[in-house]
Amino acid sequence: MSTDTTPVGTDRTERPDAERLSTQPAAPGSAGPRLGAAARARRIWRQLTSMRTALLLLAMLALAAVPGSLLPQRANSPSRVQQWFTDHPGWAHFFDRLGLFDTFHAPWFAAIYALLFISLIGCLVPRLRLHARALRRRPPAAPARLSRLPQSATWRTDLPPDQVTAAVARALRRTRFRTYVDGDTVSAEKGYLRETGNLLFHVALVVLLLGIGLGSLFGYQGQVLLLPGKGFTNAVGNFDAYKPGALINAGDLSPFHVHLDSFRAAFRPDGEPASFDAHVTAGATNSQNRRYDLQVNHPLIFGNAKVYLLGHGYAVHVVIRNAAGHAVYDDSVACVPQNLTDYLSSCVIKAPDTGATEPTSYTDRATGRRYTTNADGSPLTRPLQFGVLMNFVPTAAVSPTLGIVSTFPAANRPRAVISAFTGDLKLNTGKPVNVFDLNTQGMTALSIPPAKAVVTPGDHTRVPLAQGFTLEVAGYSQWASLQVKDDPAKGLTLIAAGMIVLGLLGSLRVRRRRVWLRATPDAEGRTLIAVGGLARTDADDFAREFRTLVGRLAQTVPAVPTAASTKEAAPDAR
Amino acid sequence: MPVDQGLATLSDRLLFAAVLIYALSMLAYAAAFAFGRRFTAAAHSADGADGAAYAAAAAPDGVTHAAAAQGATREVRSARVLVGAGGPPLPALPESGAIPAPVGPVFGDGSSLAEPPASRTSADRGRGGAGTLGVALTIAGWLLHLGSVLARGFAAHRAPWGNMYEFSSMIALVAVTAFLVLMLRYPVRELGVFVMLPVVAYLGVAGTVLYVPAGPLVPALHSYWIVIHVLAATSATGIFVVSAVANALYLIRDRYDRLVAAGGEPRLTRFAKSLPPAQNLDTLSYRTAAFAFPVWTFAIICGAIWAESAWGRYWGWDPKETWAFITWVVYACYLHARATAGWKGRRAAYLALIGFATFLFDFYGVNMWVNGLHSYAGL
Repeated sequence: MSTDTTPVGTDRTERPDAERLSTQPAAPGSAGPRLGAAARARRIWRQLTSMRTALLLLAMLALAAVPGSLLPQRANSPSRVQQWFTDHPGWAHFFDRLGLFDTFHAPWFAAIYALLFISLIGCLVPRLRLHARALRRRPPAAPARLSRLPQSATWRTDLPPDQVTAAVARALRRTRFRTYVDGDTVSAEKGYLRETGNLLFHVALVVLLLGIGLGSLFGYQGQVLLLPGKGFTNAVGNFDAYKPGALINAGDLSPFHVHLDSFRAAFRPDGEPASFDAHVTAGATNSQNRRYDLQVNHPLIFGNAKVYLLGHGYAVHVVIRNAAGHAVYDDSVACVPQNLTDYLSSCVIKAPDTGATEPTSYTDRATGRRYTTNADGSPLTRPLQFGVLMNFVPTAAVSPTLGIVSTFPAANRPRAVISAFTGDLKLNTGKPVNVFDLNTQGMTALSIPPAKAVVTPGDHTRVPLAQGFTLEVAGYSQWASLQVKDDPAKGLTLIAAGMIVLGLLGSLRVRRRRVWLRATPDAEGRTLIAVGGLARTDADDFAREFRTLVGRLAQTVPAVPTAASTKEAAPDAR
Repeated sequence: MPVDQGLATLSDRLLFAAVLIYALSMLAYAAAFAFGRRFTAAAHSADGADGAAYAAAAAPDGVTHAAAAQGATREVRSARVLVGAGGPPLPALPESGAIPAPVGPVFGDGSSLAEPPASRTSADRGRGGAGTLGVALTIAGWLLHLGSVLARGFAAHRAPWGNMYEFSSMIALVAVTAFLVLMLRYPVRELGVFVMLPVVAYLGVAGTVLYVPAGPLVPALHSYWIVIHVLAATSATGIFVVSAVANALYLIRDRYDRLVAAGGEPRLTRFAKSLPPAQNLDTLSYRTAAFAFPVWTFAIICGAIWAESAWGRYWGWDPKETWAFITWVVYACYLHARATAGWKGRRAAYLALIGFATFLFDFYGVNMWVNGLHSYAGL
């Protein structure tokens, strides 16, 4: 895949019919069908490694990436994918079948880049060989008539031809031309770095893919949400979400632990965030703990693993007491911000163990009969469970149309808006339950008077629930979510990226150019020097370079007046 | 540190002044373009060494264009002889009428080291005052523009490319800078009106629709990588703007040439004939793209390194990243296509224009319509 404008013969030039013969059936008697298959395979291979195919695959790669940017992707925003399924179920299922919500992991996307890289390698290997040979070969012999080249110059000198060629060869070598003297001609070529850069660039692309692949095989990534005062140790079971590479073992995780002391978010008057600081105490298991101020853009580093500050939000401290005033639930709960402009957050509190019971009923599926008592006549009961949906409003204001809204992301006037349910929290069904979700189906909403449903965290207000139970929002704090990421092949990928830039600079900036010189004795006993030059690739100012070069050569091999100009006394003719 | 309101206001006023001056320079270029000489085939070869240099430089295969260059230079020589014959007699002119051979090397085009071929600026000399005025106004506008960007940076105490308005201003500044640098080396002055038109429109949109007051950056941008990553990205885009302009003009001129060659009577003849030869435009477009492409690659890599330290992964297919990738692939396609038989010329030019369109979408569309991690950029 050359960016040269001149196919150097090693390029992906189309060879129309030269090899067509090979597809003809082999001579009778020989292993005909086998050869035919081999020939067909060769032809497919040649087509795959042709520049046209590469261009087509490149265009397809660009096109294939488009849906991945316009549709939400599971890897980046699973909730927005879910939203699609809710809003446009038909389209969502169709898109999902095509893999458009996982574009960059879809088989067809992989197929495009796999073919592209096979095509690339198939083209690269022969070119590497040819370039290695070209680097050892001497520059081509001079054409017969140098004056017909795009750049040419002539002058005469008193030096004999062999001295001219020797001196010119020395001068050209000093300017890093690869130079070869053959009798009365000098051939020189420069700019091999172009093809070197070109090949380096393409090899680097392969290395880059290798680095990405190794990273995803041997790396891992985990996310954990920490409330202030809580910590975690880097182990698979401690993550809220854990994505391991295919070839990493749970025991390979570097041992360290992080404890969140406090989190502070500061906002500018216009509501834009000004700074996030997670004050943590952290250390590798066998070393001293240290305190860190973990910030965005400044991760903690433990060996290969890095710990990033990923997100933050509010947490509420909720206490539920029974009629006797004993706390049956006392915990801090992380709330999910609904948006990042005002941080109105929704919190879900599930209190399954209250020690009390409530009456319930049972419907026999077979008979359709509904029972409200046990066989002995005692009322049918179940444990009393509370589910609380709470909105945490950092800076509360009353909007005439929307009710209570948040006007600022910082907790300047914090309020909690409470609605509560009793009934089955469905925690014992055996199915995984999202802690941030409350399925209120089949639950009974408690009627809390509107005046009591809005509380200020920390003001000791007790909101009545049911059976004398009360709820208190004892305070609020801020949680931080951390991401642990380990990519052991990151270094390799970075090196490949550096090679890509270097290779590009060589392949797009350097131009390949050839210069020839012929020194022949003329009738006057002097030596006629003819120089010709040719820039083989898109040449930026080769004419200028050629003039400079000729000027330098004319100093090495001084010009003398010719017959035509002897009448003029040339003062600088040495 | 609070924003220095005085400097912020100064920056806004300087930008306003720069847009005005740019608009005036655009008018001056337009006048020069409208009343300047025409680039017919004959006029082209009369450009002499200039056209020859272009042809040789752009030659995909040394031979045919070398011949074209020779043809061009031969005309220059004959023109000289004519001057010698018609004007006052030159001293020591040999009877044969040949030019006396100088002492040093004589080049293929008849020039010598002491007497270089007709310089490129002389080709522009016929442009008259309007073009020169345009250049002077461009330089003046550029200085004001630079001042505006610097004042913005000092006002907000940070690199002045932290939001869409500032990116746009930077991109326009780079585009004008690229054009000024190109004018130093190549005869591209007649393209002035086509470069200044998008620049003025761009700054107009930036200063009205995209404008945000100077202010500090969100924590995600508190990194020195913003200096490197965004500077590289805006520089590449600014240069791609010039490349795209040359490409669009190439397509117009090429269409005109083909219609004329086919014996047709194309519309907008006056306009198309005033454009530089298609070959020159193609070369200019390629050179600028070939310059910007490694810069763009570098910008993407810096972005990946930054993403690694900010978000914990160097590549996550965020919409901005995806579109940067698409842009990169399309321009890679263009650079390859230009070297491939059957693709060079118009097809490659269309690819480059598609590449530029993806660029615009990457910079603006993604921020306006697509939800992603880069959506802090002030829209």
